[in-house]
Amino acid sequence: MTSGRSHMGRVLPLGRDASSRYGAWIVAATVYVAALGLAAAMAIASAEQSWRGTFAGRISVQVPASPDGTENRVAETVALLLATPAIEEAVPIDEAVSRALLEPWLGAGPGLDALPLPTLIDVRLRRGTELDIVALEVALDAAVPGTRIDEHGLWLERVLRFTRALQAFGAALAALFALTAVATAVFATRAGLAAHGEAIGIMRLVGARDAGIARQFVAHSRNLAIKGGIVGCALAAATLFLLGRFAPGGTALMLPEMTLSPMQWGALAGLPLVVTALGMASARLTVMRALSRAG
Amino acid sequence: MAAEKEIVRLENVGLQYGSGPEVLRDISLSLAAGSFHFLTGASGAGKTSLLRLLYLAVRPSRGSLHLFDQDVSSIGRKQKPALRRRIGVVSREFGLIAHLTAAENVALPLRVSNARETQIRDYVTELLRWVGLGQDLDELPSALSDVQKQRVAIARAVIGRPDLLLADEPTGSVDDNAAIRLIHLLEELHKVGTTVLVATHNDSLVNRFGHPAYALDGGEMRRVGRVAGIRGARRPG
Repeated sequence: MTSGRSHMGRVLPLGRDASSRYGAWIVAATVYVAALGLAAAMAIASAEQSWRGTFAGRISVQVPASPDGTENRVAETVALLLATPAIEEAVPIDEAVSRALLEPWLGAGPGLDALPLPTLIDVRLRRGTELDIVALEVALDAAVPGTRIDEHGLWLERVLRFTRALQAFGAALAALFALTAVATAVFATRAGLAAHGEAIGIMRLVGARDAGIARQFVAHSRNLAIKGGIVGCALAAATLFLLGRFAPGGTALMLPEMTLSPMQWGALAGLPLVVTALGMASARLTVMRALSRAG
Repeated sequence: MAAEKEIVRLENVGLQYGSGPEVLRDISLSLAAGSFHFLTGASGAGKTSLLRLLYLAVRPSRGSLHLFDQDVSSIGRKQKPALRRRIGVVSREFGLIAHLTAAENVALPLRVSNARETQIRDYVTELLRWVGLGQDLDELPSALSDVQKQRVAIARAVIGRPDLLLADEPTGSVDDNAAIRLIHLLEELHKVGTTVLVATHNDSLVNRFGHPAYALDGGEMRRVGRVAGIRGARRPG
């Protein structure tokens, strides 16, 4: 036996309203942009973690090239570094690697080979210890004049400030477009209330409860949001997949890979659910307030 | 003898829309359970406003309104549906939903009450046969004549077995013979215990059926009794 509720959809045919015809597509478009914004914010957060992991606890030491023999100066510097208690590891970067890194900018050939390059020493700090950078720099300069320490910290701080701004922008974009999707549900509800005012009046006259009338709008809003949300999210997932495939490798742009973890993909998939829940709640609130004003 | 149970009681009720003048003034009225009354008066006398008060579309500006032994003068929104399900309303404009068939329109009160579909189907078919529309179950209102629309409206008003039936000019858009048949329909409901109040400006109809009548004139209750017997009578004072 079926319930009368299943037939109530015919009393208020909200699905046939003009606003419903385009509503799902508007929701799809807004969810699409919101999902991309959210994905960007999450990918940048991952990248930030990766940067922190790469650069935290490390410094670089630059030993200038010298006609007197760079190898001895590098060996002396490494010995001094390893003698420092706060330093766990000091590994000179092979000259060929340094030249390869410069090749995309300066071009290969005799010009690059003739260029005197400083030797870089990648230094890993010992965890839980404090390094006196100034004292180390003074000691290094005294032993091997011209040696410089690159701390990364300032550069990293600037980069992180920028990525945090990007994250905030992505999150704000996601929130703005999610709210736009909700606003679409509210406008569709208002249009439905206006278009079916007479039928709603008759329903109330025969004893329909406001909550029962609101339920039909909530169901309509749910259908709009689910349809639009799934389409928007699927398109966003496809876009992210394609971007991932066509993006150059991380080292080419000196950027870490900006990928999403399974949990972040889950959060993205939850976006339609959030939009649907907000749309349903807004539709109910809109109807109940309108009916309350009507008396 | 025990006093008759009152379904409706109004005491010194006034009704004002917004800040406009009072459209109803000092209305006192009582309808006993199972009674049949007419409410007469010229157009603009306040008949529709009085019925709107009774089916809780508006609240009295002053005075008290009791329905089914309950003071509903300042009733909350949430309590209205339960009371409205005890009241059947037949309006002058029929109040049918254009995209629903005759059967679906009649079924509406049961559907909003979440009645079972089998019960709805049986009741609707039976009622539409009773009002002479057994062959028109699936017709849209646009395919029905005014008399047929009014019959659908009556069927919808009574399908929930209301305790009180309010009809606002139910014969306003039909010829005399059809009007008489419609009032006969309402009398049949009255016979099974429904309290009926029919608003009409048709004095000859009121006289023909001889039920007691309340009369409104300029928003005031001027006369009480059968129209034929009270013509020209004035309330004391």
